[in-house]
Amino acid sequence: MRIGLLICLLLAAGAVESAGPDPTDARVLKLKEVDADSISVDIKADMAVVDIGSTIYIDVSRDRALAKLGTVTAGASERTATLVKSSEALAGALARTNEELTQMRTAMAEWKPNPPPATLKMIQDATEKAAAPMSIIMNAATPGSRFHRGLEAALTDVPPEGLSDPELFRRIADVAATELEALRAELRQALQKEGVFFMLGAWIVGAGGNREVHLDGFDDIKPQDRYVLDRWSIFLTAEQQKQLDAIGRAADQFNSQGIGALVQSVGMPMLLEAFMRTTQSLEVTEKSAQQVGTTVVGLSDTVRTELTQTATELRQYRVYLGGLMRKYQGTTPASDSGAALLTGFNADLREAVLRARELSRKIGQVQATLASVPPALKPSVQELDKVLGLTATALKADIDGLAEGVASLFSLVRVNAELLEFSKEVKRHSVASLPSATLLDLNNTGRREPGDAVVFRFAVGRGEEKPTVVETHQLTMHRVLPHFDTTVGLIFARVPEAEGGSSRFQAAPAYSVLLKWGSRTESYVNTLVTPGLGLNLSALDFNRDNTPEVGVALTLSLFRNILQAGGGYNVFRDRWYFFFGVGLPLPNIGGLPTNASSSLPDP
Amino acid sequence: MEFRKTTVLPLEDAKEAQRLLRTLINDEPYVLFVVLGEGPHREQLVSKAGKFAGLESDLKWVVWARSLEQVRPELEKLKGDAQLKNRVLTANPQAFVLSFADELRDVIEQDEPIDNVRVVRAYLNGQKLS
Repeated sequence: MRIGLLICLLLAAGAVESAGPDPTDARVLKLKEVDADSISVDIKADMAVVDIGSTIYIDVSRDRALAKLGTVTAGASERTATLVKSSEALAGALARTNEELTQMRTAMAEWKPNPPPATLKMIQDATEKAAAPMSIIMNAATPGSRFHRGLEAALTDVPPEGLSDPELFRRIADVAATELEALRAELRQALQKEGVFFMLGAWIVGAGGNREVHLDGFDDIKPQDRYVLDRWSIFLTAEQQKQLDAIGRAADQFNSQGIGALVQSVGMPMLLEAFMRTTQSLEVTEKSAQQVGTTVVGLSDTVRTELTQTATELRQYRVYLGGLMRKYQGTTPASDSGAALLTGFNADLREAVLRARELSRKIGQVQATLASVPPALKPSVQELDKVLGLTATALKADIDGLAEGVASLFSLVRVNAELLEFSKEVKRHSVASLPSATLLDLNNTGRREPGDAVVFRFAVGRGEEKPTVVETHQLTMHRVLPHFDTTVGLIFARVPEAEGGSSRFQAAPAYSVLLKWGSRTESYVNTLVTPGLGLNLSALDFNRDNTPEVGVALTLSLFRNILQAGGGYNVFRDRWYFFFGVGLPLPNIGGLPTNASSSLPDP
Repeated sequence: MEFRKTTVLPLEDAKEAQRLLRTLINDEPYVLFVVLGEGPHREQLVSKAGKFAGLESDLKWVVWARSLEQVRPELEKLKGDAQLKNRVLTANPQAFVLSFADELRDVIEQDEPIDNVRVVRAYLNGQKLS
C-alpha cells in the first residue's frame, strides 16, 4: 500500500516523468503537437517543426521549475538553495529507484539454490544499479536530521529474520518520499517569503514582426483573431485576384517591351519607397547629431568629434541614396537594357547594403558613447539616442532588409528569442499557483505564414527583479499536412508555331492549384524544396489577337513556387505546349508575389 | 544473540581463519560485511549486519574476524582504495565492506556510532557500482 502511496506521490510531483539519461529530463515544459488530422507528436527537441494549424499541448512540471531555481542563484537565500538542491537530489534518486526496483525484482525472481553463474551475474548487476540511487538517498540523511530519524525508525522495524533487498529498498524509498514532500513544503514556504515567481510566455515570430500570444492561465493577453489556413481551398483570394490583374499587365509588358521594362516597372517602386523612408530618417538624425554636438554644454571633445563625424557619414549616405533614387526614377528603359539593368541594380543594391551595415555599426558605437555621458547630460542627448535608434532600425529594415528579401521568400526567418520580452500582461505565478498545463491552438494566434515560429519561454525571478529565462522552445510552423496551395504567377509558354520575328516564349498570367506537403523532420523540404504537383490554368494568346485562350496544364512546382514547369493544352487553339514559370526573388515586388497562398481567416 | 548469514572465523586456528576468509572473498559472489574485533559492541554489530544481510537470494554475507592480526595476511591482499586499506590495517576499525568485485568500499571507524542507517549505508556502498 505504501509503495502505491510512493508512486502516487512521485507521479503527482512529476518526479518519475522521465527517468534516465534523456536530455528532456530537466525541461520544465513538455510539449506535444496534435495536428488537424488528430495525429499526436511528442516534441523532444528545443527546436522543431510543427504544422501551422496544430494545437500545442504544454505540460508544466513544478518540480523541474523548482530545480531551475538552482540555476538562478541571484537573490536566493542559502536555505532556499539547499532546499532546492536537496529536493532535486532526492526526487532524482527516487525516480531512478522506482525503475531499478522493477529490474531488481525481475532478476531476483530467477534465484534458486545453487544458482548458475549467469543468474548470479544478473542479480549482481540489478543490485548494483538499484543500490546507486539508494545510496544517494541514504547519504542525504545527515546524522540527527529528521530524515535520519525517520530512516532509523523504519529500519528498526525490519523483522529479525530480515527482508529481501527490494523490500528493504522500498521501505527506504517510502521514508524518502515523505521527506521529499516535507522538503517541498518547506521550499514552497521559503519561496513564498522570497517572492519567487514563474512566468510562461508565447510569441509568434515572423517576417511580419513579433507578437505575444495568449496562453490560458498564464497571462491576460487578449486572444488574437482566429485564423485558419484552409487546407483544401482551390479558390483564389481577393488579394490573389488583384495580383493576377497585375501579372496580366506584366505579361503584356513582357510581350510588347521585353524583360527590362518588366523589371523596372515592378521592382523600382518598392526600392524607391525603401530608400525614401531611409533618407528621411537619416536627415532627422543628422540634424540632431549636429545640434547636440554643437550646442550641448559639458560634452567632451571626443564626444563632439564623434558626433560631427557621424553627422557627416549620415549626410554622405543620404546623398548616396538620393543619387540612387534619381538614377532609377523616371528613366525610360532602353529596349535592350534588361541584362545591364539587372547587373547595375545588383551592384547598387550591394553597395547600399554594405554601407548601411557600416553605418549601423557606427550608430551602435555612438549610442554606446551617449550611454556613458555624465548623468546630468543624459536628458540633453536622449532625443538623439532615440532618433539614432530609429535610423538604425530603418537601415536594418529598409536597406539591409532588401538583401534579406530572398531569405524571407524561403522562410528563413531569423528568430532571435533573446529579444522576446515578457509584457506586463504575463502573470507572475508562485510555485503554488503555477498551472500544470495549458495549450495553444495555433489557429488562435492570428495571421501567420509558413516559416513563422512560435516561441515559448519559461522564466523564473525573485521579487521585483527582471525574470531570468531558463528554457526556450522554438517551433517553426510549416504546412506539414497535405494541402492545396493556390498560387498566381507569370508563366512563359513556348508558342508552337511562332510567327516570324516574334519570341518563341509568350508570357501569360496563370494560376495553379497544387497539392503540397511538408516534413516535420527535414526542414529543407519546407523551406527550400517545397514540392507541389497540380493543375495550371493560364490566359494564353498564341495568335496575338488580344483574345485570351485558356491553357490547361499539369505542373510541377519547386522552391516555393519560384520554379514551375509543365506541359499543357491550349483549348481554344488545339495546341499542346510546355511552359516554365519563374517567381521573382523578392516577396512582394510591385504587388507580384508569385507564391501567395490561399490563406483564409475563419468566417 | 542471533547471527544470520554470518561466518565466525575460529580464534584458535589462524590458518583456517585465513582460508575461510580467503574463500569468502575470492570464491563467493557476495558483498561481504567484515566485522573486526571482540566484545559486546562488536557482537551487536555482527547481529545488526546479519539483520540487514537480507534473505537467501540477497548476495550479502557477514564475516566476524575477532582477531585482526590473525587474518592480517589476507587483509594485506585487499583490493581497492589505498587509503581505505591503510585504515583497515592501521586504525583498528570496527568493520569494512567489500563489493561484488572484492574491492574495499567502506570502513566503519573505531569511534563511529553504529545505528541501522550506518549499517545499511555500508552495505549500499558495497553493492553499488563504483
